[in-house]
Amino acid sequence: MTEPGYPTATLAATPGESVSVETVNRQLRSLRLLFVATLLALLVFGAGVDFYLWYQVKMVRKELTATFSFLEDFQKNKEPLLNKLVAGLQVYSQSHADVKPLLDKYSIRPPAADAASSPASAPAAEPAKPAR
Amino acid sequence: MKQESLAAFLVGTLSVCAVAGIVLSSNYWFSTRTLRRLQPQALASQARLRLAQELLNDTLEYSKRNPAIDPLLQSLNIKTNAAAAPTAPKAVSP
Repeated sequence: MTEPGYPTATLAATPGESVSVETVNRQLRSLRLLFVATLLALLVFGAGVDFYLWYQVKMVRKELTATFSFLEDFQKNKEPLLNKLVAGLQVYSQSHADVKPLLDKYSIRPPAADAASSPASAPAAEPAKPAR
Repeated sequence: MKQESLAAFLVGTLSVCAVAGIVLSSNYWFSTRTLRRLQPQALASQARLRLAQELLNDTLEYSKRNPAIDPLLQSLNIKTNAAAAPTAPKAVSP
């Protein structure tokens, strides 16, 4: 073990030890180089992972926006129209019996059957409102 | 000395990279969770819309046989009064 305060004095005692100091220095330099190279490699890898994540987030957000706008459009514009059509058909079926097979095809009950409940029943099960 | 400052710079950049990775991962996780929650609703709405389109087609088909339903369809702007609308005159070629 060499003393840290007097490295040259003790290490320069024999020529063999002087060579070993050079070796240690060389090894230290190569270790530093290896450390920097590892850091660089990690940085490149991290940047790649970040880029991939950023791209994925971008794609998911795009899909999310499309789904949100579809649901909003459906609930604001299409669903009321559909309910009006169903209600109108139910009222119409009271005076025109020949439309009943059409209502039966879509499981739309005539208003007399579900008078106690809502006047317009949709042809399919009610989808849940999107909670935002 | 130069190598030490380079190493310090690389460590700093790597830390920033790691923080950005954490932020992006959490963002991705939350967005995916919201999307997974909305997708069944969107699928149900799409199925309902398809059914509504079929109902509408059948109703329009029915209206050909029984025009008494036309006022209902016209009130919903589904069917326009085609008979009332005159056809556009042909443009006279020079």
